[in-house]
Amino acid sequence: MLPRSPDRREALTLLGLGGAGLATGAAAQQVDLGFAGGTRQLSGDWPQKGSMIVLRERAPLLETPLSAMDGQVFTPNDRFFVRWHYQDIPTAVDPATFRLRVGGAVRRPVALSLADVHKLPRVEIAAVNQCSGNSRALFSPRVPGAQWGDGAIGNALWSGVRLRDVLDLAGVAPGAANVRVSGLDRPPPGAPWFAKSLSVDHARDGEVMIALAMNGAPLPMLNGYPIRLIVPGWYSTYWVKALDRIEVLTGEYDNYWMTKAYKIPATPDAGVQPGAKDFPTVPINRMTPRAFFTSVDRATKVVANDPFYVRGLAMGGASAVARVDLSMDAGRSWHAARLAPDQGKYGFRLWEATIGGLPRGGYRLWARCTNADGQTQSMDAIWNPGGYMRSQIASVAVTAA
Amino acid sequence: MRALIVASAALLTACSAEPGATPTKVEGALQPVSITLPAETAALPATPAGELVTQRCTACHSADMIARQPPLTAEKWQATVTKMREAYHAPITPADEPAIVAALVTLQGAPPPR
Ligand code: HEC
Repeated sequence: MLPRSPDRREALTLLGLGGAGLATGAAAQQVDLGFAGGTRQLSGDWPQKGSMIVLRERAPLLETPLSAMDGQVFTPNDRFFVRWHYQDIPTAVDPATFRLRVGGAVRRPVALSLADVHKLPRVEIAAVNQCSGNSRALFSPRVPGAQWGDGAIGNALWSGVRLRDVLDLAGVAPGAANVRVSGLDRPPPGAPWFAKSLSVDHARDGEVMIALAMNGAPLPMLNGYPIRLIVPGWYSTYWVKALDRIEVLTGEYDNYWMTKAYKIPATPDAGVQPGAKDFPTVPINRMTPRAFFTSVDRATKVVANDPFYVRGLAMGGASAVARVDLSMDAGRSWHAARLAPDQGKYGFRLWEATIGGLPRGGYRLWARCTNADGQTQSMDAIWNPGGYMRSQIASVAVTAA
Repeated sequence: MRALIVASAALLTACSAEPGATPTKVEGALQPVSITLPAETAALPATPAGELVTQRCTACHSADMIARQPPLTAEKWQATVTKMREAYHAPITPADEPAIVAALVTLQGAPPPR
């Protein structure tokens, strides 16, 4: 992790934050997520978790305050966001009896113990895990669903084994098309299992992996202990937690969670006119670039005519962060922020800048990420009925006084 | 825009990364784990509308899933209730829906829970 910059204290003073919005204490602190109805309590009541924003108690939806990610590329495990669909989630796991079953269109179905999984070659990757609906509450017009602010996101160093190597233990049979993955959570009676699928080629690309550890420690139970799928560059709906079943399919997977939920408009930016219905859709897939402010609130005060320091995190989505640029004139001109060392193309990259003293007055500061494929964020917000893939350029209001 | 000076000070050197940092080995270290989830606190108001929605709509998720939705039109609530029945097999019949939708619209006007 990145040590705190020596400028941190000074920067905080300059910004007049004074600790406000830094969610480190116990419960009963409030955060403002920046939308109507978005004032939320922080809670320290969740097992293996520090202070989190509770969106829903059952099944748990816990959001990370952006300030908890400030100044570090890797999000601490105890602050990593939590997102389950169904209330019947694993709360006790014995790793000695846990089995990962691989079946379906394979030569030899297997039930692997964790010790078997551990014997495979180890791989490690930094990758951002972001909920498809991250920032949904900022959609306008608003849409139903989990009302996330910007904190359904985190980056970790995942270590484990390749999904390909696990599949090869069973031997993918000819004619295999898709790989279905599911975990220990269970649906209410009659409801569809939470399961997702990836194409066989994607599943065997050598990047998709099964994490045995997260930032060098076992996964918190609420983040998928003992093992979860990691699909670098893709939204977390595919990152199945407490993964215990892999089924190789010869056809498409027609489950609700693939064909009805998590569908985005088949438009280049996943946006449609507000209220639009009956447009072609595709399953959500690759993430897009985003930059976030972590050191300042969305409305921040600085001392007039004094330079101030600002920093945040950026992700490139399906390719590396190439640059982060800042603007104070609504995007007419852009100035490169400094980037901290690259820790892997799918991970967060820390950006920072010192802004020259501002005369008294009100300003807005924008931060835009561009990835290595040249894909960049837009000033315009998209809209879709699921509230997916928001990636509009983030901005903060700055008052110099 | 002149105000936006990106200083040349080598602040980044203070942020020395740890490339190639090897995580603590967790081989064989996985222990039986069990967690206890906190007691549920989310609740809807003790009004007829709140009680109806609590009764019909909180079997599968806590009430905050409903209370924290943005303001929705009756049509949108209707679509949500139908989705609960069709997609997740909520034990309600189409005949139950008008009363539930009306209660949801009423609740939206009520102060948030807690
Ligand atoms: C049979 C179980 C079940 C019942 C009963 C149920 N729901 Fe749900 N509800 C779900 C599931 C599952 C989700 C999706 C949760 C997730 O994605 O995290 C959901 C999600 C929601 C959402 C979020 C928006 C969305 O479309 O996902 C709202 C709002 C909601 N339910 C309202 C209601 C209301 C109102 C009722 C009463 C009519 C109700 N629910 C009854 C299972 C149920």
